[in-house]
Amino acid sequence: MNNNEKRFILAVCDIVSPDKRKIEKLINRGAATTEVLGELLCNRMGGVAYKVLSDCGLLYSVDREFRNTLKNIFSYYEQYNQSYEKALSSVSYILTPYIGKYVMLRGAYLSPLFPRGCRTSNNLDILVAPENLSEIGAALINGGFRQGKVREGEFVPVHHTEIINSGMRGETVHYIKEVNLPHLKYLVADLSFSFGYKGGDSVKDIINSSSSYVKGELCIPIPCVNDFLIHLCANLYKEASEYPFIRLKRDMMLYKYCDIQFLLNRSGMPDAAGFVRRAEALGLADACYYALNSVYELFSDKVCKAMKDMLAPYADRSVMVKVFSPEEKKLYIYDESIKKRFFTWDRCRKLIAK
Amino acid sequence: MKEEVYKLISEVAGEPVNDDALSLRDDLGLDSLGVVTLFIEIEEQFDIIISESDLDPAQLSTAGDVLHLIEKYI
Repeated sequence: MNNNEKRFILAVCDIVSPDKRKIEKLINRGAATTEVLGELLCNRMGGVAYKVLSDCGLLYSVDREFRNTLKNIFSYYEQYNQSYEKALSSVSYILTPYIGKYVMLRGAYLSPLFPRGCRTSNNLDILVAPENLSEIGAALINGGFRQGKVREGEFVPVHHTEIINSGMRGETVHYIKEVNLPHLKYLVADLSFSFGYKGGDSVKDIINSSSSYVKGELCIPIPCVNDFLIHLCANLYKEASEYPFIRLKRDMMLYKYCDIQFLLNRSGMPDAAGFVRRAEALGLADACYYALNSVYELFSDKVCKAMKDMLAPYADRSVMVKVFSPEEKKLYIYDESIKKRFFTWDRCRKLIAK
Repeated sequence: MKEEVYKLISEVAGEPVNDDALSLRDDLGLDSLGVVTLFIEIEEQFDIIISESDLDPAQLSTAGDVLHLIEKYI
């Protein structure tokens, strides 16, 4: 992939401040190629790219098949979003008696927050305090969920042994409900009782300082903006800095960088000092620095820059190049920038053992 | 009940159990499968269903932890 194609990908994924002239110039240089299309789809950015091209009035500047493929993805995402929001509303209704005991994370908030057709979510992440796990799990079961997994498009219940096994690994078995909505046969809910890298009291703090997100009939409890951002940053950092995720090519999904940029800008300039204090208190200053600096490098976002600059004195900046392999108990480093390695297909080969 | 619980742990681990502080993993040699087997046996013998929320690996590392868990249900 050449430099014009790489710049084009980042330009059409910048939903916050798309640069029409830049995108147009890159299209005229032949950057809207099939390889770019593949990259957009594999990074779940097809919907955003369509929206950005549409808002810039450039849809008819790209080839027909390029445009139609993005349009199909955008339409699919739109319908999926509608189904997801409907299913989400029903879960928030089921959990109404438990307000103050849980919050919804990631896609549950981001998917309805983004313009329709831009951000999908495969599941529903619910954070609960450990002592409330049973009652919220029971409420989901009463509301028609069953514990199990989806295999080859069908629900498969799990044996109690597997529930014990998962529990002893600090995980819970998925709660799944057949909702039979367009593009969404099953809604999968993940109950978790830890936040980023820490559990216990920090989860209670997060739930106690939660707020509500309201969109039409949808009303869901979410963490405060700073906690939500920290959670996204911690998740992005974990995947980017651990060898198994890199091996599975799940370490640098562009939609996660876009999530952070979008949320930061959507919230205006958040309480940056509070963000820094909170990230430090949770032991996540390094993770947040990594995530914000990465988003800045990819999108040159001003709000991101301001936030990461505030965080810099409290963070170990060497995290930008470090990768840890838990199996080998070994440290690796990159000697390339975020932007350069983002466009590398097999990043494992770029790692240097220390 | 303590004796009953220790006897059960001992049967699954194949090691004598006589101290609350014995680690399931390090002292009694139970691997992840062994721990799951132990909880299945416990549920059957005491006729209880252990809730997911009580299956916290950090809180269930010794024979005493297992005993406290069962006491909670009985």
